[in-house]
Amino acid sequence: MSDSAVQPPFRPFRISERATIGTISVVLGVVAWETVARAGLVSPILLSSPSAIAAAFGQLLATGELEKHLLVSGREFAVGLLLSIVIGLPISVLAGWNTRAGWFLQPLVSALYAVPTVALFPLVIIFLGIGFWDKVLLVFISGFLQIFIATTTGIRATDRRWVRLARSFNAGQTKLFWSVVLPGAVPYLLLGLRLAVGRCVVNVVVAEMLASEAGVGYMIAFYGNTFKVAEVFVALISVVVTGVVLNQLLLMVEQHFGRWRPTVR
Amino acid sequence: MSGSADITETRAAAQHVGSPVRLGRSLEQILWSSCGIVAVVVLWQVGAVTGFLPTRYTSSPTAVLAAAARLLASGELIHDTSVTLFEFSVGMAAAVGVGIPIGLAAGWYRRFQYAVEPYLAALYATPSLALLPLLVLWFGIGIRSTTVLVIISAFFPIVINVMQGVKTVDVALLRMARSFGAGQGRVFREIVLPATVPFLASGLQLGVARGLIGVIVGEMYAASNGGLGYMIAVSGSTLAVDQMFVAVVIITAIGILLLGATRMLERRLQHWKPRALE
Repeated sequence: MSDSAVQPPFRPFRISERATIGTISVVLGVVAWETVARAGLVSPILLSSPSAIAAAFGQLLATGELEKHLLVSGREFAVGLLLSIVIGLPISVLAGWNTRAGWFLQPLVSALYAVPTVALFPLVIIFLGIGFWDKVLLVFISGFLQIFIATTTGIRATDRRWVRLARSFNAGQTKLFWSVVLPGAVPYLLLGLRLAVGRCVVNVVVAEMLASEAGVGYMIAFYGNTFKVAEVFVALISVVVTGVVLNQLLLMVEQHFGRWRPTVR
Repeated sequence: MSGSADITETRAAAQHVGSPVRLGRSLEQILWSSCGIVAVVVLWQVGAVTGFLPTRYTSSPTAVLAAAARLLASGELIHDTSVTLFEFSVGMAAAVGVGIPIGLAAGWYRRFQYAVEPYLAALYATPSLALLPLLVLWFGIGIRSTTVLVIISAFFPIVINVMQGVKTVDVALLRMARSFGAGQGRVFREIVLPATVPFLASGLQLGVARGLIGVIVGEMYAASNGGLGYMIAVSGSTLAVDQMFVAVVIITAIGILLLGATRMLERRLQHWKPRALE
């Protein structure tokens, strides 16, 4: 193999080797899967097949079942994330801005952060029962922790020189906060938000798998228990697509907000 | 108190860790820091004793301690912890054993990378925990499906990080080695492998964190012969809140210890390196 680390020169108007090999590999994989399933090498109950998944997708979409469950999960996710932003932001700004508040809150948050959030779910069920708000609380916890850590880190990372500069020009506390500290913390905040979204999606799905009556996670568990693998794959793929789309959107927002600053790294 | 001064001071304190001038300050920090945890525990206990908190649902610190002692004496705690650790370590060993070679190959052979890239990206984006119902279908309820979940959870961060590590090897070093007539094998051993170590370490850290969550959720979802996640699920559905807290605390402690160990390993492996620019 030649210099693997040297990138080939960029040639426009040519199909890249990467895309070609990648496409061939995916097509081969799908064909192999379909063949194995058709030939009956592995029980179709366990393996399903691409065509069966496509059919199941069409059917679940036509009956409105997929939309219904996506909506349930989406609402739990959105309310939980919104709450974690609305409540989490002021608290984390306070903890980042006021050293003593930070000292007080940091150990509590670190301790909670070290706990796998899903392990708290049975406790949450005991408090709130199985339904809508238990998932919201689980999402809230994981979102809050992520936002807290990112925001306090961002505020503490404020460049001392800028603070001194602002003070030399006689900026008050409020001015200092809005003009120096907060803009500096925005990239951290957005990164934290993106991480929070990723975790929250997973937590909604897992919580629904463990205990619920609706939602995409419920779909996954229900169809898994009833040996309908094609439907499980449809639900799984919709979770993955949702996660990737949200991640890309937030990445775009991050890049948009990161544009004004000169490149440091 | 002035917030901006606080910021500058914290940064200064961070830069002079261990300098005697800051000792008074750090003592205050320790006081404030422990305040939060102590306050929570005390309020919890007081609330439980005075009947302000429904102990049935919230338990109390002393009840949790008593439950821990009881579970320890009956051997249940040791059994469940060892089941969890067994599943975790088998899964991690498999993930590392398969993940490192594939990651190295994908980083070294460009065409191989192009072929596996779509799969790696798709499966890395898939929340591995959501695969659990399928795994239960394929591997049955019990140790096997949980172990496979650990493998899947830990495998992708390791592969992707190792691959990145190989791909970001300094080209100048590769050229130099070749100019001095080093063969493929030599280049790989002496340049590529050492350069990959930091990436492997961060992949391991992610893998350990994800693998641990995988074990717990796997056991919560479907376990037949114990494990800490099983303990959480069972005590949750039987309202044995004190037992649940014991399990949660132990899992958290295991997580902190394991992540600390991987961090130490990382530092150890990077010891030879000159300090990089931060």
